[in-house]
Amino acid sequence: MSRALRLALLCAGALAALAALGCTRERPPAASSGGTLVVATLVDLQGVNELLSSDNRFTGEILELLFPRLLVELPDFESGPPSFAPGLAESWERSEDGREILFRLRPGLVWSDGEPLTAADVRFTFEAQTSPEVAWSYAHAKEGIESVEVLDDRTVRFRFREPYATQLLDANEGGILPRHVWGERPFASWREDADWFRDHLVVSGPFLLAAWRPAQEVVLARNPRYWEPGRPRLDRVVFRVVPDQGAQLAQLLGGGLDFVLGVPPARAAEIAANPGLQLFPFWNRQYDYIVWNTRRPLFADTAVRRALTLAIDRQELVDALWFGYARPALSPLLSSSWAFHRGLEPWPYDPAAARRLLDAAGWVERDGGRVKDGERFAFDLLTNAGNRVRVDAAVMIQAQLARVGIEVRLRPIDLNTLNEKALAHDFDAMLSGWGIDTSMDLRFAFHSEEAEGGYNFGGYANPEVDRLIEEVQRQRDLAAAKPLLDRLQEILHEEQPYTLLWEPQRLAAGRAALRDAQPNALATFFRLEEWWLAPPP
Amino acid sequence: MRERGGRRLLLTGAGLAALLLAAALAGPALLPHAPDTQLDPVAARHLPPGSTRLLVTLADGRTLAAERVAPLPGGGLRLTRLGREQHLAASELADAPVRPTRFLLGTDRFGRDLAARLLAGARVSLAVGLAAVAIALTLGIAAGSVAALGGRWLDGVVMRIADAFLAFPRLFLALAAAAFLGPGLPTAIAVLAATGWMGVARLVRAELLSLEGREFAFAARASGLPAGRIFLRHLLPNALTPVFVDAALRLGDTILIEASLSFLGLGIQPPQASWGNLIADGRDALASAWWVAAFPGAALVVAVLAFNLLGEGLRDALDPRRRRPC
Amino acid sequence: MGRYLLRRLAACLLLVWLVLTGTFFLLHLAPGGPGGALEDPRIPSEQRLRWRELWGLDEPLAAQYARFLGAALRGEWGHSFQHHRPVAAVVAGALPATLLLAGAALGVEWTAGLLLGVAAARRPGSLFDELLRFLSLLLYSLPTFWLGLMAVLLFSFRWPLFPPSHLASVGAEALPPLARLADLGAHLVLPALAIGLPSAAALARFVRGSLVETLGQEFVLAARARGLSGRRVLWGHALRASLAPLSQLFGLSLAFLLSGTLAVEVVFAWPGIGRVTFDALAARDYPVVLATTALSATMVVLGSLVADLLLAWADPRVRRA
Repeated sequence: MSRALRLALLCAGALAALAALGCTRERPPAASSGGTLVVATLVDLQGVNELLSSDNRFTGEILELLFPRLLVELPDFESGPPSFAPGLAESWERSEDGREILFRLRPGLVWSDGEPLTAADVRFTFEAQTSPEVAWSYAHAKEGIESVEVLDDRTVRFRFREPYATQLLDANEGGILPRHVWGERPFASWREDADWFRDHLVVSGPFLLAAWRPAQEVVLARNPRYWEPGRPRLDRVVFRVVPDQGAQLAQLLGGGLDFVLGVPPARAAEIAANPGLQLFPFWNRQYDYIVWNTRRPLFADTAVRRALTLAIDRQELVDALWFGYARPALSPLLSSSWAFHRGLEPWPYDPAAARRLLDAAGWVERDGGRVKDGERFAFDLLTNAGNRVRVDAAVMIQAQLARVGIEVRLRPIDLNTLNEKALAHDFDAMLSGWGIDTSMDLRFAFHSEEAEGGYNFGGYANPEVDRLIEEVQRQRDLAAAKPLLDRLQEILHEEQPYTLLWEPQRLAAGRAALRDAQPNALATFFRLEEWWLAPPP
Repeated sequence: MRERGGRRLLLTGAGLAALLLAAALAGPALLPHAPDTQLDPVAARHLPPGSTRLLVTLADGRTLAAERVAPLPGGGLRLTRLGREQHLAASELADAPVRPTRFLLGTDRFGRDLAARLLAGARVSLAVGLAAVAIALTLGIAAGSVAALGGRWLDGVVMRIADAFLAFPRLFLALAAAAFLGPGLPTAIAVLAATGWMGVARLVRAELLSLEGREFAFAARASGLPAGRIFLRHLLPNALTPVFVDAALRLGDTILIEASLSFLGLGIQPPQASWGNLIADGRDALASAWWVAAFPGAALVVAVLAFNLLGEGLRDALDPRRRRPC
Repeated sequence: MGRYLLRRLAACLLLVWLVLTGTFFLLHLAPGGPGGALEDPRIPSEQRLRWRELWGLDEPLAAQYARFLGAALRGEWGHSFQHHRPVAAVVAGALPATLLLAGAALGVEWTAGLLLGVAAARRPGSLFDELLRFLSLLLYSLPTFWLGLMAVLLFSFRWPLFPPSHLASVGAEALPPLARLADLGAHLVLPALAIGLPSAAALARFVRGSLVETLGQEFVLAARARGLSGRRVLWGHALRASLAPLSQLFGLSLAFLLSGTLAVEVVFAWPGIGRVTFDALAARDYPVVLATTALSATMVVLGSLVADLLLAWADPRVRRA
């Protein structure tokens, strides 16, 4: 038995135990008495075809409920590399040479129209995902896959160009789509009419899309043909579009809503103290940072970048902006993940040390500012206007850096303009954020090859970093790459191409009657089919 | 009766406007805090209007907002902050650290004094309004004069341009300007001026055309005065009275539009305060901290009302001929 | 008349073309482009370039403009970049909500405006008239979005009489038709008042002014002398005589029907055309921006045309001129 399979079985067991634990606390009602859950969302559903929606997280989450993946990625990245539980596939196996993964589908899977879900659907999905005409946002994940072959109705084989660490993650990316319906439309016309997919919607997940009133609400209803007996427990889930967090909370407090995603941290304490409500904090896979443009002479010097980090009081930012529901970030690999280097010594807030470093680098204090070769230490800090936390943070950072004699000119600008400037290295410093996956791949932001047209906005270049990044991705087992990842984090920590600001928590809140909800960083509506509402006493 | 009503409007409007201008000019001197100072984001957050706190200044420049403060032996302080006791040594404190403060209009989500932000917003809103109207007047008078006196063809071109600007969605212009120039105060002024000159141009053009047909213009031309002189000495001054009456009303409208652009995030950008973005800030906390949205809006209404009253009153007083129906 | 109409229509077309051309070039030349935030490293920039290619944005600007104009003349507005739907469908999806709201607001404006204006005109110069004058100036000075927020604060949060947002309650589609209508009406109250009241104030001032003027004219005095009751003189004769400027005003309120609701749509989470435009601008969804711009420019231009035509219809002197 392969290591992956053993791991899978282990996880399936763990999941079953978890579910059993949920049951012993309180007995959920019989499947038929599910009831309706009303959830608030800030944004609307973008469409029902995952391959056409870009980076709208809410849409991604809803579509995962309609179109399950082969496997379910488990939220256990604190303990190790990505692990999986069975989804549409009941088992999987990696070949000895590491170039093939064989998936075995569950028996008797059907689409919501009664047609069987087969290996041909899996292959069709791969074709759609990699079609240049469809131009799926995440097509990149499939680049390492050479082919997907149907062996029989229930068996499908993914062939990779070469073995690498995150093969399973890549193979599993994206929900399985219905070939017998969507296959009728040529890929070339997919991007033209998303409504067609809504009108030809066939799903395989626990829920059906019962109604979708744009900018108003999305209604999911139980899929009677879902493979797991007794699931989902809820009859209906209504997602109301309420594009205002204050109004969402007001409606939750007023009883009009059962679940709210995205509680402002400032009001978390109030929710937690309310006996009628429960708060669900969980670590988000996201961090915010300031990237220094190392191509500008001002930020080319490592000592200067370090001084900047020392002069920014990140704890104050976290306290004031996140009310304790975040922590200062230390590494581009999140501190909640298994790959985080626990030996890193955090750069403290130490304005005195920052001053010493700046003095030593030749930036001497004069008239309340700092000067070197007749030039003042002053720079533009860009961030996207409209992102309130970032603009607020920039204001506080401006005040903090002024204390060591550095002048920050605040430039909140429109997001699209910001993108263009970032890609063209046309900025001094930029405050932004990354939402990352579990692949531990740091190439996008720190490999020197990504400086041209890629996301290495600061133009950071270090041959050793390049080499380590490449080596990590060549590993067949990600866990074995830990020493390499540690070394990478040490270098980035020493050189500070980024000043990492914070890792936020995401806060969800629900009525106290909500049971078995386990929102987590991978999916807020993780296993929504298990959720249920306790009847009023 | 009518005249007296007009004078009453004029006086009320002028009084309110003068008060606002004075408050805006005096702004920072009126209150102990700068509008951007985050006094204590945790303990001074969303304090209701009229709350009192003891502000304790620390040696590193930060401020703590305490409910009670008692001296400790050795120069330290024992303060009660958010209901919890906290001890501070003398070395941690600034000189003369304790300052009792009353927040007349409450505080916002960062413990910033809303009254201070309101005054800062008044400066911005009034400055943007005045500057935009001044530019729009200049542009409008120039365009209107060219249209009226420049002959048929020029008239057509100028007025079609004005029509096109009128049909151009302001929202789009605001966004495009923000993309080209970067958002902020000068951009807001530019957008408001660019969308405000057309009315002035039409008014000036109509006035000039009607004046041209009057006897004194004929007389001036007959006496052989050069055309430029006739325009500057005789036509323009007569045409401008209604334009300036109109300008007061326009000022009110402009301030209103600036507020709605800033409310939508397309005008003045935080941390700079404008009444519009203060209201936007308050929207998110409407249920829990009503004052953050309510007071800036009330200030906005007072300002717009002041200029509307002023305009109406001026119209009644100066320009009985084209008294705006009321 | 026919030639006049043709000339005016040609001028309208020219204006809309000017506005669209300006919008097109401003949009495409502005720094930055569509594609969303760069915060997800799993979407590489090569893929974003591929999207630009699929959207036709890598062609020379002149070619793009020619293609856009040609398609627009055929009534084709392309596909939304962010929704992957025909632009016509995006606009058509949002238009009813805005028309509903604007229609209700228009109702508020004209009912309240006429009533208040006539009431004030009956005793010009009285204390009541003065009060109304001040009140209407005050109402006129209210920003719609703030009025909306305060209405939510008072009538949704403090006293929960009306819903604070949206067009329908959860589960409204399951209600019987009459109850659904009532639900819709309840959702309309606050936003319609927020838009309608300030405009009603402006209208009332206008109505009063033109009524006072006509009431002083000879034919009204003559009607009075014939012994007609004050009410009949007011509603029957004077108001009809004021119809001309009023109908022009009506045309103009049509012109700004679509653009007047945006801020209130934002406050009330109203799924209308204003929100669509706003989102499209933020996302640089060029086809949607161009289509909504065309729509709003057409409304403005046609609205003023209708205003002039109504004036001509109501006032024979203008028609002859």
